Amino acid sequence: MRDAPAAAAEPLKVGDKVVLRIAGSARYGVVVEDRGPLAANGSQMVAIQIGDHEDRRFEMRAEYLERVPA
Amino acid sequence: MPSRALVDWRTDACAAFDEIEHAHRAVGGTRPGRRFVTQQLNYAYVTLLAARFQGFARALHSQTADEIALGAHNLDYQLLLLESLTSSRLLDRRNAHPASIATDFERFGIDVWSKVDAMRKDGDERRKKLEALIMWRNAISHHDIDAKLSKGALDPLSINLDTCRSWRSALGVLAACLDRAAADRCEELGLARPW
Repeated sequence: MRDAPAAAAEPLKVGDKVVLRIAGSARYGVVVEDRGPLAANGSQMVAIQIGDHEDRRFEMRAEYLERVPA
Repeated sequence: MPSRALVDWRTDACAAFDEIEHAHRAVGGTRPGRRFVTQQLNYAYVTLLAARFQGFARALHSQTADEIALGAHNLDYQLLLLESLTSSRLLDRRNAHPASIATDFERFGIDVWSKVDAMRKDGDERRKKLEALIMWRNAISHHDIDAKLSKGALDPLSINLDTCRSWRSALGVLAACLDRAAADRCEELGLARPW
């Protein structure tokens, strides 16, 4: 299995802009909820929303996301 | 060791419920007005029970999705799985109604209530209590108790501290059973038992 990206130095916060890269594509979104240390190893999970649609909301490990500089 | 979701339910959530119970005792006595105050506490108790149980169900779903995604054979597949298992869940925008829980946990390929019913008897009775709690929670939050009572939409017709305690007890059992059903499902999928 490919290694996961290194975890961000600082925990993600609500309102942070992030990018999720899957198989060469990049999806830009915003953190809408900090779900706390729910991931299997106790690492942070967040809910992110892609675009303006609430339906396009899902959860992801913070370590899989890159923070987009403001 | 149970899931983090269940640990939080048994610690943080139950501590919050205990605070309401303490408040009930603090306004004890026979003074005029006590009944009004305790009824407001009962309404707060109902709202808190519904909110914390929804939080538990969402957290358990998130943890289970993460465990299942970790079993994927590469990172891209993990990300896609995690996204699809948690995208647009009912539990993110609705109460933790039994039907919402069933729909969201179906994504893991299980009929979660059948699993729960197989673990403990009286599962149907507990689900009815969860439904009653949510009906009351909605009536309180939308300030339409009288309208719902006149339509016969609330059962029981009134609530008191014992009602809340009965609902709390039922939710505690449901939480433990859901936690076990999720862990069982991970094992059935060939993963290590997560909790």
